[in-house]
Amino acid sequence: MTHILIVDDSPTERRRVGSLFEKGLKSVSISYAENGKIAFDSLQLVMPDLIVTDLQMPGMDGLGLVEKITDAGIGVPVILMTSFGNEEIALQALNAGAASYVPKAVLGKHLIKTVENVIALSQVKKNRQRILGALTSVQSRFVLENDITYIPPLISYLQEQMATMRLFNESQLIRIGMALCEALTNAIHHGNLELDSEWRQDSEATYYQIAEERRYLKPYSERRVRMVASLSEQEARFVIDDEGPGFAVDEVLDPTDEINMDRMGGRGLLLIQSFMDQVQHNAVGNSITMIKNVVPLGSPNDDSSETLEGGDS
Amino acid sequence: MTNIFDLEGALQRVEGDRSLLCELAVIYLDEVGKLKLALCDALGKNDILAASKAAHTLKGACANFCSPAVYDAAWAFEQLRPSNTAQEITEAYERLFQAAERLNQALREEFAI
Repeated sequence: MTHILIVDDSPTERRRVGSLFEKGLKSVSISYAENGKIAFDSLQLVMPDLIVTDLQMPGMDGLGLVEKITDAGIGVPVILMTSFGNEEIALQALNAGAASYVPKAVLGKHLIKTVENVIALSQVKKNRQRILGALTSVQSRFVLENDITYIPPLISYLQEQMATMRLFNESQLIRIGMALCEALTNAIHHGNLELDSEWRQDSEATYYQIAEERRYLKPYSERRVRMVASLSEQEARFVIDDEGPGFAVDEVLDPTDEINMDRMGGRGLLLIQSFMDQVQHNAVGNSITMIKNVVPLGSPNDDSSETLEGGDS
Repeated sequence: MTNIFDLEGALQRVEGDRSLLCELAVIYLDEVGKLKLALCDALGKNDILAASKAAHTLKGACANFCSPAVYDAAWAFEQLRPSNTAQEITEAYERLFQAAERLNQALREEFAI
């Protein structure tokens, strides 16, 4: 049964719109709210499949309702009922996250079809989330050129996968993202492009200028970074390989030593070690394996209340 | 005098369902009374914008009965701003509620409410 929440300050309009659904949809339950605030508060109790809202209402209006729903990350689609003169607000609401709109003057003709379309699309999204929620392990392999602009979208993709699998909370995902960013940047800059972090200590501009030049110079330009991300219910394991000559792992300055804390070169490793549970390099120094253990949310070891300043391990 | 509302048009909007139209009329008559009070209250506080919002709601509600006289008067009232003169506001108010009262009467007669 489809549950629809109708939001309108006019009881006459609420009843009329409700009657359209009663006649036009096969199996429907309808609830009503007279403004955006009452509608938003009601979502705490019952989550409808769809919200149909007027725009202009006293208290919280339709735009405010759409913004609150979007800000709260609630996935319920919202259809706007617009009337002559509020096209601009309707446009703002569509930009804020509303799924569609129907002019009030043609509700009888177009509302049901619009609702059916939106519900069908929303159902596909819900089912996709359900099936992805049942995913227990996945392995992804990436081959990257020496372009650091690949890094943010790659991390975002992995964070989305981990979030869908409900492996980590929001704060953990941010920390994992930070560690991945550092490791991938290291692989491109220090691994494949053989940039010395001491150069960065002297001049950031020169450091990045050399990085840009080497991206197109052999042998650097022919090297790639390979990443394998293995996500399971037990752990998230990331292996990042570069094709540079490697480095003497034993000779790396200890980033936790306060003498090295203010050196940019040690910062990446410090973050990686702080945010991951296990970190290993291969003997050559051109491969790093990082593991983050999955701790069931709410368990004694769940660190969901920790702040970014705190370490994971 | 022309009809204050178009019964055929109103029935078309509810796919010929007269009992639903009657139900809407009952709800509307209750609503229009409340909106009149809200509008008067707003005018008493010199809050033209609140009064304009009440007129907007009335405009939406009366549209169900295909009544251009009420709809147009509500629309005209909705356009009022604090810069309008007291006389303009009074005239718009009288135009709106004279039309609204005619529609109320017609609905009561049509549906024996």
